[in-house]
Amino acid sequence: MFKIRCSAIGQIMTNPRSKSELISKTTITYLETWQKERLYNRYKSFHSKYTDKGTQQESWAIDFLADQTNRFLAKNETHFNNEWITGTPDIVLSDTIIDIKCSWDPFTFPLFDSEPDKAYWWQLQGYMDICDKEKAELTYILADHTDEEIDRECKRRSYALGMDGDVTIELYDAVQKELTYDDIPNDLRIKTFSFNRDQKAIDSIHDRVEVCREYIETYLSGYE
Amino acid sequence: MSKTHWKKLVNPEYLGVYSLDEGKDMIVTIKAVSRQMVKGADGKDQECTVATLDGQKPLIVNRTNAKTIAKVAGSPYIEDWQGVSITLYPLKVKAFGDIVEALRVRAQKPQMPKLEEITPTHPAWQKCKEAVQSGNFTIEQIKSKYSITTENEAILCSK
Repeated sequence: MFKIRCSAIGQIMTNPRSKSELISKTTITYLETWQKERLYNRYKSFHSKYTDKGTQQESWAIDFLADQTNRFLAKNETHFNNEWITGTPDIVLSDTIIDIKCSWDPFTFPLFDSEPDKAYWWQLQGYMDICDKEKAELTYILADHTDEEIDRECKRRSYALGMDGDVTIELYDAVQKELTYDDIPNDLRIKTFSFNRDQKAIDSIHDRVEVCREYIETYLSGYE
Repeated sequence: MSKTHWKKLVNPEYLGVYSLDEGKDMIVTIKAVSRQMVKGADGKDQECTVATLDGQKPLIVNRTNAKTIAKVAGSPYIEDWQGVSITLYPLKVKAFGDIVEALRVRAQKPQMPKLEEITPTHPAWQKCKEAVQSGNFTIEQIKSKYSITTENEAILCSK
């Protein structure tokens, strides 16, 4: 039975370009991938240097947020789901869901944004639904890059400078300074968007999941 | 000031003696072990046993280290090595007609770093108490970050 992962809700909530279409091209692509994963028993894994940073720095980011907001916080390890939605929020409090995003660098950190990214807004609506919470916090953290990323960047620049992969102390120091943010005030390294549960939006996710199930049944189920 | 080994800056693909801080052991946790093609110093591909590690570069596992890991893990099967923590240290060995430093695995299970003890005078005491009493977190979650005596646990959980 098809259920949507919270992190993918944004992909099925995009509207079709024409009113005659029931679901969007983005949604169809997502559902085709979902069905292929089941038919071939192979899972499409996606990771990039951006997602890797989030995974590797998650624990540090939680501790940093706890420290800056003077709270005890710990990573949630419980997987939640209901009839339509499934997911594992980063942090679950008694009335609030917290999700942490590690920005790649200062230029992708949403310092001046006044509204949360729409896909993440949908993701947290999903978490509030499966965890039965009323409030959500989407927090961006500007975490240092990992040692591995600093090494990679040193090597990349070394080749670009014609140094054949050799890394001098000076080059290493320059890259490390650029990719770590100890010199930045902490309030420029945290940005939180707080918002409430939107039951109408959550109902629309449930409805869309039902439509997706019909689409899978009608168009994608002939190979089982 | 601690010194940096020049090879640490060259970023080899795999963990080596150069990855260790001078004079210090390194505790790592194995995520998975598999056979992989590894490019040697001569540029030729060679099939090796490689352990992927939590938060570190992969470790090429030679016969000597495999034997020691099996001892630490209590199993010769690589599938059982997942989640096992080992201690790496540098050892001078005779190889290629010379004395070189090689990465070795200590035969003893590593002593994991001790958690900081939380007491009523600890700066984080109040926020831990609030976390438990608000129902946001369990005492087990507090204990995943701090050590606490039975007496203090009772005080922390009391209203």
